[in-house]
Amino acid sequence: MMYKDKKIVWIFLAPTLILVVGFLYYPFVLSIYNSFFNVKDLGGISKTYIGLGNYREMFRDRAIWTSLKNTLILTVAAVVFQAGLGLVLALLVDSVRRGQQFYRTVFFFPIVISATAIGLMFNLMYSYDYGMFNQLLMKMGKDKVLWLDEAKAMLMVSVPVIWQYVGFYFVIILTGITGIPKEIYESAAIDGVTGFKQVFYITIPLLSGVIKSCMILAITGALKVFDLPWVIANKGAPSGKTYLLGTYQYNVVFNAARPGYGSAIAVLIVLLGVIISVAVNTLLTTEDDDGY
Amino acid sequence: MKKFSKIIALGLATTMFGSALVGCGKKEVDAPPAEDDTPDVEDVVEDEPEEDEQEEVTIRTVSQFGGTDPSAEVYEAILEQFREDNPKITVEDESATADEAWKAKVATDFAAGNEPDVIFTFTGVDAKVMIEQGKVVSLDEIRAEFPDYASNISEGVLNSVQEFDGNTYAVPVRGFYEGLFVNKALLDEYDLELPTDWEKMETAINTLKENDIVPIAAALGHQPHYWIEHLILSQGGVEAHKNQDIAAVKDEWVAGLEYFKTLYDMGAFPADTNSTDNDIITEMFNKGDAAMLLEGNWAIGGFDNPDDITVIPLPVVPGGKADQSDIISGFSTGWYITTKAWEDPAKRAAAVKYISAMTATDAIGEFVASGGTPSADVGEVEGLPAAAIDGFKMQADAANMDMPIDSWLAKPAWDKLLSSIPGIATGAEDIGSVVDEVITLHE
Amino acid sequence: MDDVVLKKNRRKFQPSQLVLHVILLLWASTTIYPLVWVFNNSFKDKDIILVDSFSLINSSTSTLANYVTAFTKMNIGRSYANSLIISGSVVVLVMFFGGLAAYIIARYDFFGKKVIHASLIAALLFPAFATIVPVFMILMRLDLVNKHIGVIIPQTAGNLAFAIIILVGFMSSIPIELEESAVVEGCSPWQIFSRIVVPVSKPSFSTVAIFTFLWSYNDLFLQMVILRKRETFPISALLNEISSQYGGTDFGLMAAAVTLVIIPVLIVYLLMQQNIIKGLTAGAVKG
Repeated sequence: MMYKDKKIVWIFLAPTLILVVGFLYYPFVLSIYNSFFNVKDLGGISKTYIGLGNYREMFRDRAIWTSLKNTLILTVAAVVFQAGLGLVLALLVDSVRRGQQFYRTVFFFPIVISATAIGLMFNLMYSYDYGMFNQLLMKMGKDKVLWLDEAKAMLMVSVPVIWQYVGFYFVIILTGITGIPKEIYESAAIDGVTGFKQVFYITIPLLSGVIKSCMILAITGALKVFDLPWVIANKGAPSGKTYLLGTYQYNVVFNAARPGYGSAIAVLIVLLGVIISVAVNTLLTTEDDDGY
Repeated sequence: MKKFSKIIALGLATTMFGSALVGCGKKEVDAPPAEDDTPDVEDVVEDEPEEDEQEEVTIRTVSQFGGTDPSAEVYEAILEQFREDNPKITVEDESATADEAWKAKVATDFAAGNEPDVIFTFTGVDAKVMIEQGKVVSLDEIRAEFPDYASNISEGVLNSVQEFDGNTYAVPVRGFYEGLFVNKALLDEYDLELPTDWEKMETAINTLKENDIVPIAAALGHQPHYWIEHLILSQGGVEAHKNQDIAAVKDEWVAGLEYFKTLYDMGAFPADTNSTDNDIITEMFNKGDAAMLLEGNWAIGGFDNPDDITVIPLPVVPGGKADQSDIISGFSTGWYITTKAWEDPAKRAAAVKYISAMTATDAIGEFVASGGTPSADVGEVEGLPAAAIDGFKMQADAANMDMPIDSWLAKPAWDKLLSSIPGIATGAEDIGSVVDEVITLHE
Repeated sequence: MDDVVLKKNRRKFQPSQLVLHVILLLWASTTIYPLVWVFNNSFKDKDIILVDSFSLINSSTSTLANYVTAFTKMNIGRSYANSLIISGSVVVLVMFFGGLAAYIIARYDFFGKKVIHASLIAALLFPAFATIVPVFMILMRLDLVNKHIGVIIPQTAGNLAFAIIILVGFMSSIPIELEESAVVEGCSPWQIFSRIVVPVSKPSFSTVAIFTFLWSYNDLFLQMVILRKRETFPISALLNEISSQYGGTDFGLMAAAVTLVIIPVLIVYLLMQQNIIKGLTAGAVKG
């Protein structure tokens, strides 16, 4: 059943719409406007109109293609591993009899530590001369390894990025599980649906809304992530091989001082996000629900 | 809702009425000052007892003296003294470390017309937009009314921060130099001479390498800045290094940058030079795991044993046109008065007074005690470590000093160059085409 | 409602508790490690962290100097209070406005619904640098610069999209039968929302509160641009200020700062999490 009272719809939505339009959409539309300019300062005081110049440049810019490729891979990895591991861990924690509180608490830890600190930790693990990994290798009598070389760097950057936020999806999915009425399990048990079957026939289907939210958050998160990869691999180190759209955009704005081009990249990121999210939502929508 | 809009309307009306009043007041005070009652800045700073023409005024200041940097404490102390000496001037200070958020804050302020009254920030290419938009006042304009403004600052220093339009805007406090920091103790251990020429440099690199010491601590993927400047300076000499028409000196740039590959292939840099960061390699040098570090004078503050360390100019590359004593050095920050404050008669004198206090000779002496070159004659600075003393000597001996390339190179071009260095070092990037792209981006 | 019977039924899925614990503990070790690492390094001198960050401190190497610096150089208490005022207000506003909007999107059919939902997802992707100048200008016109409310309003706007996506996901899986009986009894939409939907959705509201608090609390960029006076600085902005010196960063001080910053977040998490565990069931509401 869906309600149709129009008046209530707009009254309840009003505060959100006013805030989101006023403080997100209006500023972002101005930023889209800036994407047609060559902007010389962060404040946008000095700018010259260049039409589609910034967009045309994107096609020629090798770094954009590298970042696009890396970002799409990271997006898939985020959906599969972040949301996926979050789901698995949530189901497992829900099944243990003791220590639930403990797991709920410690899985959250990486999220609260700033990217600067987590990034430093990984930098010091990967460091060639001082890194923990190489020290362990030396103790085992093996040669030191260049962890952030061109072949491995993207993997070495992705692992911490994915790992840090697994706990986020874990918390959200666990929240969803607590919302499933216990009666459903009771009656299912009476019908002989138990054990693993309960997970696949009851828990996961009833979590579909929450899982979809998680996928959307994982997609948007991967598209804009910048702080942790930036600390671990400054300027897409080595040689721009690990640039993501988020880190490349940051470099364009703050280091290359080109907010106009940065705005054009922001438009690309937003478009990609909407397209992928809507596609995922449509693909996952079954006929008996309406997609939300 | 209606009530809310009423309040807003009332607020707007008050603001407009208020500004109208200010507008009226302005005209009265704005009468051209009589020639002979020009306020004497020096006197004011000396804390002359009666200075009653000073009205109650609030000035907003922004500086880069933040964090736990020792100069932040010096700044705070001078600020406190200023407040005590000038009870009628309220100073709203917004100083912070000059990171991305700081830059965004300043840019946003200028864009929104909310710029501070005085600001301590960068000169050169970073100040270009601010100057083009007429947001700050030139020294000439200030001196027309306050002839003693910045009179204690060396003429040469003021000339060195002249901007693209031929005017000087900033009053510098302290300058910097860059050089090759060398761990003398480590070289002695392997019977090596100071790398005062390229041959000795090569010998040092090879010997250190054989003994598992990293010859040169450098993070080419993070901060290759100083290496870019020095290699181009070394190859092309100061004339090529400061030539802003890059196309005319392209060959010198290419030949200079080729030494990245030469040194990389010799194994002069850490194995992870393309991915490690500057903090780690600085500590590597500090700990004695690396023998040389090309850095700025500010690095001295972080050394554990600065007496074991000396600083020399980078040896000139074979066939290079630079003099062996040439260095990168200069002033890249200073105090500005904004046009907004200047045009407000109440704030004009207060802003001048504030900057005069911050750039008084004594104040400069205190700022340079934690490193850097003074912009005025402060006499001998006491208690400096060996590295800092060697640094001053290196500066005094320099045949030529030039500002770094990024003081004039357009940001997008500079960023392109920085990003290309790891590729240049490994040989993956063609240097000629990188320089061509830099030329295009510089426009 | 008999809890014992219920547990028995639910816990039929139990391959072996031991295997589960082994897997969970493996993951837990990766998540506990960084916290221990940060805490451990906060007692080390800055000079040894970069080259020796993985060894445990002992009585001869440990130092309280980093904490002494943090506490003596800064007014930490006032900054904690500022943080609580800002992030606490953001959490309350986001939950209230976001809850109302999510309920409408989850339950009502109206023209433009899909567009609104997609627009909210898009809003998650707007980068802060791109919106900061106009936001600052609006706040200046409203005279909210340098005031807590100047941060609270844009942060509320910024977190609403996330809140709505989570709440819609949760609310749409609540069986609608719960509300139907209330409609029959003649309850108004507000009564249905506040008496039925909110209590049932309490766990998801707690989740939203946790992350909204976390992001508001850590949002340095906006805080530093809007708040300029030390008196108004929230804790993360204050501690960010102190750990930089010379050309680099004082990593010992940074580790101490990170420790000081995360303590309140962990407290908020632990408090809020109680609601997620207790998560009311449909039955409980009916009863």
